[in-house]
Amino acid sequence: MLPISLRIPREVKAQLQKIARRFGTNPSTLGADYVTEGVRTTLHPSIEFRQTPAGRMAYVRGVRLAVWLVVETVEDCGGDVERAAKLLRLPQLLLKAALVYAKAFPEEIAADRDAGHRPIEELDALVPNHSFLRV
Amino acid sequence: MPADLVEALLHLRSDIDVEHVATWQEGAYLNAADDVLLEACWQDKRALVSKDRATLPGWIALRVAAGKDHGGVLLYDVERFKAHQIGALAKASIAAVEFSRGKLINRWITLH
Repeated sequence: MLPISLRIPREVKAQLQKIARRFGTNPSTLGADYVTEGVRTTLHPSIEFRQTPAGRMAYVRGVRLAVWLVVETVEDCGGDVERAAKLLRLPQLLLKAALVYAKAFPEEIAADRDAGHRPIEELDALVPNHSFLRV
Repeated sequence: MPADLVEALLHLRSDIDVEHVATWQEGAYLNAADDVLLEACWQDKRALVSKDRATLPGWIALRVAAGKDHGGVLLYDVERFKAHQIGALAKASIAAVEFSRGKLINRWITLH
């Protein structure tokens, strides 16, 4: 990581501090995240970042679909992009744009996938009123 | 959930009120944040079908911590159900509805 210096309006700084407190982080880290995401979404305009309980996560822009779920769906379909796009009702180009992002940032997507594959036994400890149904 | 699941569910149980987020309320929630969608589902007393165990447990925990109810969650195991196994997923979802006797409010059922 390299340091840079930025000048931002006073009110933006105050809002950044407020959001950082809410997310349990500090303004510098959050600011760096925002800059990183801004650079990435400029280079990959089909991607947006969302705040989730599992941290900031890359999503396909305009739909409620995390990039890691796109990757999994394509794998489930044996690499058949057309079939995966049909299942997800996504334009093929948008799906491919998500795959391009996943290829560019494999470690980030792998971490998201790990979160998506947490042992289901953990759900009992995380979610009230939880039950399993084996089918 | 896969869009084709709606059709498969209605094929098995035409009396079930099921909608894909892309069409529910004219697609108003297609791009909504999960917490917003959960609130909308609760307002409509509607359970959410999802396979996202990365973020959904956290969203539900936050709702519970805020003293809010939810409309119910049917989560399917991504290792058990591949994206194209629509028929198996539809049958499992019906089994969950019958298992819960349609009472899914504040319940989370994991299908595996």
